[in-house]
Amino acid sequence: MQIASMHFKERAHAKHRRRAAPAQPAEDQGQVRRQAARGDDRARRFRGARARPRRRSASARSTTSTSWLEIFERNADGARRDRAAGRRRQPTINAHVLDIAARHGVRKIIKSKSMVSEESELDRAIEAAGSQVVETDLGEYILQINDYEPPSHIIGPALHKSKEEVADLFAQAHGDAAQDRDRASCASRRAECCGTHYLTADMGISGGNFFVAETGSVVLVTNEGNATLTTTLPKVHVAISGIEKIVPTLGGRGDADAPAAALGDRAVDLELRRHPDRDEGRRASSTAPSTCTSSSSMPGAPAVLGSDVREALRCIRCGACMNHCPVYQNVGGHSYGWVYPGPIGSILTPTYIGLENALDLPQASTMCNQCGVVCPVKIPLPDLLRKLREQQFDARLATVVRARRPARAGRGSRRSPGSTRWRRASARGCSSWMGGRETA
Amino acid sequence: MRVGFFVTCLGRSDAAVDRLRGDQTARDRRRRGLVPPTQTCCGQPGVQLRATAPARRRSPRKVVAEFEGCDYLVAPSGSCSGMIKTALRRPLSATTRRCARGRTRSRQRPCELTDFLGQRAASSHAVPGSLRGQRHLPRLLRRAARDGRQDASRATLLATVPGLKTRRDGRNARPAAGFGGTFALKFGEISTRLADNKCQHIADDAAPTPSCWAIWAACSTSRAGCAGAAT
Repeated sequence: MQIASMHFKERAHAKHRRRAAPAQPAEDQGQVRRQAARGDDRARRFRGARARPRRRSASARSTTSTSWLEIFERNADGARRDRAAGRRRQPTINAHVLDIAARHGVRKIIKSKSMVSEESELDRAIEAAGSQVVETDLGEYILQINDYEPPSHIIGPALHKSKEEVADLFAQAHGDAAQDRDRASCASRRAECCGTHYLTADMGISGGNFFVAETGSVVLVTNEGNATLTTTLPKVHVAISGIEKIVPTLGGRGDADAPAAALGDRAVDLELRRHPDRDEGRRASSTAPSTCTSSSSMPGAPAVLGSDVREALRCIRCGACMNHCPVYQNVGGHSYGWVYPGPIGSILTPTYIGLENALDLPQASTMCNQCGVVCPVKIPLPDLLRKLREQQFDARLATVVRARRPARAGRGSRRSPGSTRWRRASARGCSSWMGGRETA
Repeated sequence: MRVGFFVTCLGRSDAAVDRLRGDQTARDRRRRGLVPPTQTCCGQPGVQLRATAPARRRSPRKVVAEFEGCDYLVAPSGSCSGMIKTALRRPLSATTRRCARGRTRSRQRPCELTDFLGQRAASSHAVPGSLRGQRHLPRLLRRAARDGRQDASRATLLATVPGLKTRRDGRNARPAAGFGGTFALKFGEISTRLADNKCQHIADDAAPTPSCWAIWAACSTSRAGCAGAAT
């Protein structure tokens, strides 16, 4: 995905202007939906019951290390996988997947949700190579038929779209009649069309919520059930995820269960039906074994392991931080300029793509700690943002442009008294210490 | 018990609401306490932004020197008292130790004004007047509300005012967003929108009198927020 994180403020401003225009109510609805997604009362109700799983999840996600990656690769090979390819960089991951597809003579690929494939623009690469790719996650599908629009949320990628907009897109893509624009018709139309693809696809690509080192298996959690079909029906399965998603065991201290349970609850702050799915890689009747590709998505990712912000690698991509972030609720996900929006995006994006390419993001937080409170794996998000700000300060990276000077008044203007001038000068000094003021 | 009053930078700014607030509370404290005239900022803008090291080096030393001999260090702002608390919790540096006459840890206990009045000085204070009507009691920042003590102090304190009823969270209540301060300087437009949302939520809850605390939050901590609330 193209990186536009340098333009956070401009994009936030553009969104505000669009919202102010009465012709497009969709943005306001997006905000309502984002606020509704927080489900504050329900969140409060569940919070007490979740304290213990939260501790377990955090400790499970703290144990990730590179040695587990090696164990995982060994066991994944043992599980009769085609190949477990670790530590692949973003430019090569597309080539690697395309290579597997070419070896098995794949012509149609179905995909369930994967953030790493968003980073590397895998869909476009597959289409460029002449194969067909179909997203099975509903939100991702909506964005796919809208010419691969970037997602605005990790869990609900099309959260910014109103149902009318979705109906328009469906009509455009499927040629639906005008009377079939209600929600039920859209859903059934989509189910029909997807069902055919499940049966005719040659390869399924999925993400991986957790890779279990002990067994070499992939754990997937969905609420639509599409990942189960994507991983089981086609003859080849490829799972792509970051190296930080490797957990040591299925049970015990470093288990995958606690964070997997937290994932569903925290994603929407509701007790949602979820389909945890464990793919062991063993298939009795399959002609080709499944493949597992673990990828350090961007060149910066392995560097994070030893850095100040390594706690961010605990992230299970549940989206709870952005559901509760007042800034995200106001500016939307597209303003953040890359795959990961919200508070966790403000940490991951500068770390992966370089602090100098995302100057505004570490500053784009009010430090209210709502993200830190709701995070199911206890990532201290405000503390990490402060660390990034310190790094910015040490590297002398200016964050905001200088204030424009107001135009001088004519000759008749009264000169300010000395004390006022002194105060203005000291305020200017102070604001330059803080990185400058916003331009008018 | 000797109480030091940390006016904070709000008390020294020239906005009318700040001056009123700073002066009134300072007058109360001056009767029995200490209000050093040389005090300045707690260093929080520096820490929250990025100049952590200089701010942390300077702030505790100054605070310790100015409030020498106090048992409590009271500030009318939760974030300022929190900042001082964090700074003083660490072992003092050599220079600071000189200011603190060789002690390795500071003896002053920083606390927020309502927390201090509600928990530690409630019994010794008679409420000077009464207030008819209803006040909205908005929610604190999550980081301040975590231990629940400050929230309880506020409720205890307001319960002692004759004739006043307080209202808890309304339907649209959200934890405070913290849109003021340096965030307002950097992202004025977003801060204004957050302030607008807050005001809208209060209006939607239809409290008979506007929330004094929320308006204070909108006005005193952010000029940009204040402009947004007014428009």
